[in-house]
Amino acid sequence: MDAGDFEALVMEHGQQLYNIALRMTGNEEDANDLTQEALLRAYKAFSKWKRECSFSSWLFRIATNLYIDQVRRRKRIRFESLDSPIVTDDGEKLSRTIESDARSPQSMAEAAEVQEKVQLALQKLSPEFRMSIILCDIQGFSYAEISEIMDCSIGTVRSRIHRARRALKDHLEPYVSEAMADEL
Amino acid sequence: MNCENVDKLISAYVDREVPADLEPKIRYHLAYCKRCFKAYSEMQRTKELLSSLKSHELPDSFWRETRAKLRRHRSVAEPKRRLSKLWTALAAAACLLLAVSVVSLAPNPPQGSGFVASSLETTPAEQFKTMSLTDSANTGGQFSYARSPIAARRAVQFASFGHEPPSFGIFDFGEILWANSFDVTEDNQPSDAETNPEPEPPVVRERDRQTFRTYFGSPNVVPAGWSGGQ
Repeated sequence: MDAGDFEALVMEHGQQLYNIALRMTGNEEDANDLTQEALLRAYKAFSKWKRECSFSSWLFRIATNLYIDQVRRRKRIRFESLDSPIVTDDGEKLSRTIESDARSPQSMAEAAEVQEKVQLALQKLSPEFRMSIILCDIQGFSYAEISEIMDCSIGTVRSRIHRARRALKDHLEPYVSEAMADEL
Repeated sequence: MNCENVDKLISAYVDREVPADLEPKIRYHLAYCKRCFKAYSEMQRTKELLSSLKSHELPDSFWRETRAKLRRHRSVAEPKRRLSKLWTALAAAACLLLAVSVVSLAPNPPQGSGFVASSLETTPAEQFKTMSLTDSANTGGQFSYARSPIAARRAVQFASFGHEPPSFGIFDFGEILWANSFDVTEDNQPSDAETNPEPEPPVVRERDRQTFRTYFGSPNVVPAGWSGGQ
């Protein structure tokens, strides 16, 4: 396995990694940095990848651990208002919202609002719960795959997803109730 | 299956991650328990909201920036790797030097009958040139050490002064490659490669083997770097 093999694998999974990072961090700048740092670490450790798990699982595990480490190191992230913009070291203000590409103006506005609320609700979860629910509901991984990526038991995955989803349901109550009322 | 059990498994049920034997029991419970069915519907809707989040394309500059970072890493890591290799080579050289020193300090073989071996080359043709052996039975018990063919011949000439041409042998670490009688008294004699492009198979005299066995325990081993001489 050489640099060419690494590049081929990264090209295949880079997009998915970026989307996971985007949902974890909540903004494009941080997602970009997290994705690049995860790829750099994967490159350095590529010779240690034993193929006991898939490359994508191994890569996402690196990103997960990297992000959780970053959050633990910068505890201040927990105390930031989710409505305030992110201020970079250079003083630049970045929006926390992720642009939607919905089509009609009305649906675009509605979808953008829902997406923003969902993203903000995600940000309120702990990094472990957030990553579990992102991998499950957004990326579509099975519990077994998530346990491999997050290096924990399936029981832990089941518990994290259950609690994360319950917390999200509470944060997104209006949207959940609205949808259920429409169905009735 | 009661409400409490269903509540614990409701998320896994939404994800189709409950054991196969429990799934029909939960489904049956949801069919008649409105409260649990409501909880199930809310979980299902929450999952749908998350699943509706759009996938985003990588920024245009992403791969360019990533490649630049990887190149920077390589340019920093490469000299470190070279330095590491240098240290490894130095360590290996130090170990080799130590091993040679230890072997050269070994007790000399008994006088009167013995061999002189010098090292070191890898190919048989080169070994012929640089590894020499003199049979002290023919050289009057003299030991000498030679690093080159000329030096070897001179050593043999010196040792065999006034005697019959001595045996002149070529040794490898693992086995005797050649042990035969040569006329090595003339420096300008043609090399074996010139006179005989296809070297004859090794011929080892039983007497040489016996003598070797006396010194080294095995007839086929010559310690690397061992001069054995005075």
